Amino acid sequence: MRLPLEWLREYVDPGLATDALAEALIQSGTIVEDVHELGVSAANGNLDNFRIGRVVSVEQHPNADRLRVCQVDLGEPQPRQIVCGAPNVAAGQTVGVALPGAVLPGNEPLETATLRGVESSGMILSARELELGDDHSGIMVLADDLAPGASLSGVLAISETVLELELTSNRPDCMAIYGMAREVHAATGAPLADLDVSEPHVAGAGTIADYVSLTVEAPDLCPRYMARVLTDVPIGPSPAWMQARIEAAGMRAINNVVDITNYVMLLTGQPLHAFDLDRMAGPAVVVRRATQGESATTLDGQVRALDPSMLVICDAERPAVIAGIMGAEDVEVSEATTRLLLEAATFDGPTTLRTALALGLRSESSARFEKRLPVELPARAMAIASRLLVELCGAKLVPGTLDVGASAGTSAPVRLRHARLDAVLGMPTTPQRSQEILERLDFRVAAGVDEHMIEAPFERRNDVTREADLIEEVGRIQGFEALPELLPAIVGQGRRTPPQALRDRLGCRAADLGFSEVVTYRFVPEADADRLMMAADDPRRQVVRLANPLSDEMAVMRRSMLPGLLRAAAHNQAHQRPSGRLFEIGRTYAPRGDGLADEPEFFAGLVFGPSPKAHWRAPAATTDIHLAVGLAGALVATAGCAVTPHGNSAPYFHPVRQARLMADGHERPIGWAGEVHPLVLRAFGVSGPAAAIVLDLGSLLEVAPTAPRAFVDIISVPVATRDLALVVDEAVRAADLIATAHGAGVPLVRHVELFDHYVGEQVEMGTASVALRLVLADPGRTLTDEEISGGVAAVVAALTEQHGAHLR
Amino acid sequence: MSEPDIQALRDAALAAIASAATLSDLDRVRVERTGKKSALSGLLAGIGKLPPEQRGPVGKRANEARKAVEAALAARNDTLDAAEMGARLADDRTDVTLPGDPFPVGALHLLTQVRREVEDVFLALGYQIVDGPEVETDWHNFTALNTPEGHPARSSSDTFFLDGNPERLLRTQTSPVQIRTMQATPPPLYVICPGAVYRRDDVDATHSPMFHQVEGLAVDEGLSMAHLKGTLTYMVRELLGERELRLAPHFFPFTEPSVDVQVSWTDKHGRTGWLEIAGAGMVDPNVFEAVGYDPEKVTGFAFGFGLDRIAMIRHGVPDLRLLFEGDLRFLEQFA
Repeated sequence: MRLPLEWLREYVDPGLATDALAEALIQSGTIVEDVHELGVSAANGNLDNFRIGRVVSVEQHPNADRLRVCQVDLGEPQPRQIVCGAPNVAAGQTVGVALPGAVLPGNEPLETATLRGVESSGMILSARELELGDDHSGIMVLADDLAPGASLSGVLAISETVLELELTSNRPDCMAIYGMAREVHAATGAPLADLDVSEPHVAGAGTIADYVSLTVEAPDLCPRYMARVLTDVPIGPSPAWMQARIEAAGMRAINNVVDITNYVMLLTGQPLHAFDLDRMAGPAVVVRRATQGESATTLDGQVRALDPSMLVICDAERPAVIAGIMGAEDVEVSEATTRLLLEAATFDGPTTLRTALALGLRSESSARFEKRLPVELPARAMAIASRLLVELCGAKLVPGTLDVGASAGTSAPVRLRHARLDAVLGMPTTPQRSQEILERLDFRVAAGVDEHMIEAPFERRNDVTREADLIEEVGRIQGFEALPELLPAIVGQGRRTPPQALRDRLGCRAADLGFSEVVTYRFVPEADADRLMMAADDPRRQVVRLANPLSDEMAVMRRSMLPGLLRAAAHNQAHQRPSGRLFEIGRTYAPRGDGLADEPEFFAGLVFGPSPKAHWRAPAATTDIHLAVGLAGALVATAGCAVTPHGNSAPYFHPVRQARLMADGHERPIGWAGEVHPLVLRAFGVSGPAAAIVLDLGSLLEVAPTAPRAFVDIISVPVATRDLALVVDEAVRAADLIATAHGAGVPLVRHVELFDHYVGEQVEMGTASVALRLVLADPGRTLTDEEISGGVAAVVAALTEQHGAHLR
Repeated sequence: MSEPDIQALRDAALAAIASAATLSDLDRVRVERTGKKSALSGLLAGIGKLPPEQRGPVGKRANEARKAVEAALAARNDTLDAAEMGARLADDRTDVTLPGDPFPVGALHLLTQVRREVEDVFLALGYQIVDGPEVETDWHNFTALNTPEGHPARSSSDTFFLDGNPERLLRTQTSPVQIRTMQATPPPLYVICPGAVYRRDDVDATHSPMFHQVEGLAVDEGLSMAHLKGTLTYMVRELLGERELRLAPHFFPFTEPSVDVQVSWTDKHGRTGWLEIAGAGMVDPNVFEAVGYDPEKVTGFAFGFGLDRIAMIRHGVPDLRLLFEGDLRFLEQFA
């Protein structure tokens, strides 16, 4: 919404500089997004250089075909000689003149010049030179009754400031100059002038019933419809001041009739429409739902397909207007128009919005109707528009108004308790003060000792219906500057829940392990499932699908954390980072029967790219399954847990080099680790190798110890360490050897470590050399040699029995 | 042998020890002076042959002399050993300015860092952190939050709906968590809900279809706009330093009065102005009614702000897209 201040000041003038006015609006709830300075600068007395002149005579320039030499009366003893290039300049015209020294927008100061040998001391102005409009076809011709020599800025807004406002959806009343005038009045206390809603003289022949009939077939979508007829309408340009205001408000000046309807809409907030009565098919106006298959060619030349959800205003045969949105070409006001049908109506808000969205056609008119306008407003707008058409254009108003529907709604009184007002705002407001504020906003106040009874003006009827709404009104006009700053006295202490704390600890540990955290879009392409080589019947192909995604790349909610990391890896590799470590903590989304989703939370880490020798001494770590398992171990340790790798078969990992990470005595996996399948890497454009870790935070929480851990005394007693060098079949898994050694060594073997593993020339084909270190201790006492050798023997026996292992 | 003779032996030995310049010199001195063939050993061995009345005093002297010599040997050994080790160490050559062994450390995402700071601010005030589903019902996201049917936010141009179910959507705000929390918990209630939210905006420097909010909600007896202002002022000072804060009236469907929270800000060109950082207000009685709270008994305030925006403002990040690209050149700057 653009608010030209010159126009505003016709109704309220708080005498504030632009900045102060903007601030007053912001502090009372209207956002001022921008301030536009239009036209000529008002600085340094520049406006004095713009005067009204009367062209006394016009002669052909002796040396230039296109130039004329004009004598212009500027109220001075002698006329000034001004050379003018405009084709339409003529003796007797009243014009705007810039005198030498004047600064025009975007120009240097004007000087007295000699043009092709003829002196010119000034310039006759066109609308465009003053930024009053686009018309550059000729000079601007003003009304004849203006006195030569008078200030041009006195009659034309040649220097205009426009506030660009952001209005909230609850305030359609502010989409009007007069509505904003009321806001300024309320915010500043400056007096508010009345809106002139006097009816013009009626002069047309007959009565309106002789010209047209009106039928409203869809009163649910059209609570009120008013129409008037005007005859003898001379189509032409509207007055310069009106064009200036319309353009400053962001619309284009078209002709006097269209300009007046737009002007009144801008002023009152009520859209109007003018039809060429003679171009209507038959003398009937029918307000009805469109029929299936019907269409209309709107003013912008587009053919619009209509349907029965839409409301149309028809003549005897066809839709002439899509109600509240745009008129049809067929009945548009044109140069040839002499008889008008003028419409002022109330259309249903949601229907207007839906229709406008369906047609992709939003207009100044629909933007107002869609926010629901009161039924009282058409009468106000109709009176003003009729008067302007009669007074400015000389049109003749035919007696009578067609008016169908409610002419007034009801506003129920709302109670405002003084104590409640103070309690919600947190500071005292006297009943006198709240009454004053509400009355400035045009509310009717019946004052009381404990409470006021309030009735809202019709413009605010939809918005202010409850006590809370009134408290807001008083609060916003009063402002919150004086409000004290208090902190609530909260009983109890804030602390993170176990899942929240785990998530944060994991993030820190991951960063310590060299991973950088990413945040990726949770909507992903559905093709990710193919890229991850999920089987056709894989349940992870069941996704939460968006009805209106921005693109196919953001079509479904992710079921896996890996694609986001792989895309981030590809991005980095494309930007000189061939390798790195990334992680993300977040949710995946599995559709549920009730239409919502299970949203389990995961940690996912990715080590990508070859390990270059990045340091003068450090050996490059290998990006493989063993690195991933090691990192996973360090990560789950933050939860006080340990995991054991087991075989696994996820489609997106290397078929052999992947593991499921299990915790003792817990069936649900804690996570997975593996080398990402080369075909998956290819699908995401990542250069391998890459290894990934995924942890199921819900599962990890289930195994994380919650009780404080008890101290075990393995400090004050000697601990025995025994190493076993074993030969086993190559197929025997390390995790099984460790588990067996643990199980057989209970209770003395407290720790088993596999510290060497060798397959190759030094051992028999098909076998592996494995070294285990056993740590034996019994808290609180020293073990005897017999106990130690007994414990070791039991472990060896079990390893032999279960895995065919023998000592080397 | 007389006592002066013993003294002479002793002095000679100590002098030899003191003059030994290397460990091998010292070894030779040790053999000469304390070995089996040394005069001191001979003396000690001959004590038994002395007349009984001399044995005591001479033996005593001789033993003292031997102990003194051995102590001197040990001390001289330590000195020479330390000197030789020092010389050996000093002979070492390395460039200590070479880069140390690498322990690459990653970075928490800027959004995570800011979120934790916000959480810590409110934990310290006594708030709890709550979260809720991102795939939401239309009722929790809009209806319960007093957003009327036909409100533009409820249109498919603004909100992501689920395929085949227009009652299900991606939450457009973290406010539905408030609703769920109030439904599950009687007042008083002091919570914040950080989380991802979704709006149907095309991606550009200041818009993203996914971004992050923190919503705060306080419900108790006797809460007013003054408590809201005090809480926001505290939060802003903790997160953004000493700044002016102002509340400009605004409109949101679920609070009344509603305010835009603005802080004083100086941009990189040195211009000062007000920057919108949050929306806030007193909880609308309709919202309390939707969750079964009695608006005559309790009042409450709520506020919400974009974590992404706070992070961008505070760290001078010019483009929202940087937060979601996963570019290490960006991420590592905040390690």
